[in-house]
Amino acid sequence: MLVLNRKEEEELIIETPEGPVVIRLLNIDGKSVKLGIEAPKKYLILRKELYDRIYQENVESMNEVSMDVVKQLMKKKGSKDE
Amino acid sequence: MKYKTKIGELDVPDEEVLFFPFGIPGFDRLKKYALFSVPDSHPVQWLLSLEEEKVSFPLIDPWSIRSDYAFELPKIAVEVLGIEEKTQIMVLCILRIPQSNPQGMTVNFLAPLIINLQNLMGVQIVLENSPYSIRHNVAEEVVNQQKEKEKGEADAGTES
Repeated sequence: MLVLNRKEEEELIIETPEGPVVIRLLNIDGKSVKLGIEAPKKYLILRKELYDRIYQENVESMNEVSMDVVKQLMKKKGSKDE
Repeated sequence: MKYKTKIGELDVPDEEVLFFPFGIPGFDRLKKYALFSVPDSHPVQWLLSLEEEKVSFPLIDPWSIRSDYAFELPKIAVEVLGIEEKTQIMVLCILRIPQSNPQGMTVNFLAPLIINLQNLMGVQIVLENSPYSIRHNVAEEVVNQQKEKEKGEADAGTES
């Protein structure tokens, strides 16, 4: 991992084929820092911990999936409705 | 073209292949999918990877569980999918159906899949400042929905 020192109001630039990504350190408050990010419109920027939760949920959904289980479940539901 | 998928070999015409430019979280290298539905598993539909046969996800129309489901379409989805005013989109949510307890299935309302039906591009978005979570118990939601409906009908009854 590349590690760089930045002070408040200082920026980083990441050049990409689609344009630059600029990250500005807006403010430091105790253990929390506020970042401002400017990126090309089609860049998806997410909080990593949120991304990780969605990631895990998707993997779990895939691992658990069984079409037979779903068919059986729907069959049961259907017979209950009748 | 023929693909090997979770449910076996499947012939998917090019014009029906869904393209997820970011993949989906956890599977970012997989971009090509097919949407598949069988009457037996209705209303559950399937997202089948056309690049990795093991990968598939059960999906559901969120409004079939909760008629008041709502969110503001994030700008990134509009940009990435090329959505314009009259573009038709489809929204589906991923289900987690535990094999040991399928009745305990949950639905991810926080990260719906958005598909542009005109160009078949899709993205899984993550809603910001949303009241939803990644695990809503489907059975509970359906019961609540039913109660709301009955309450509404009872209220309408007393008014008349």
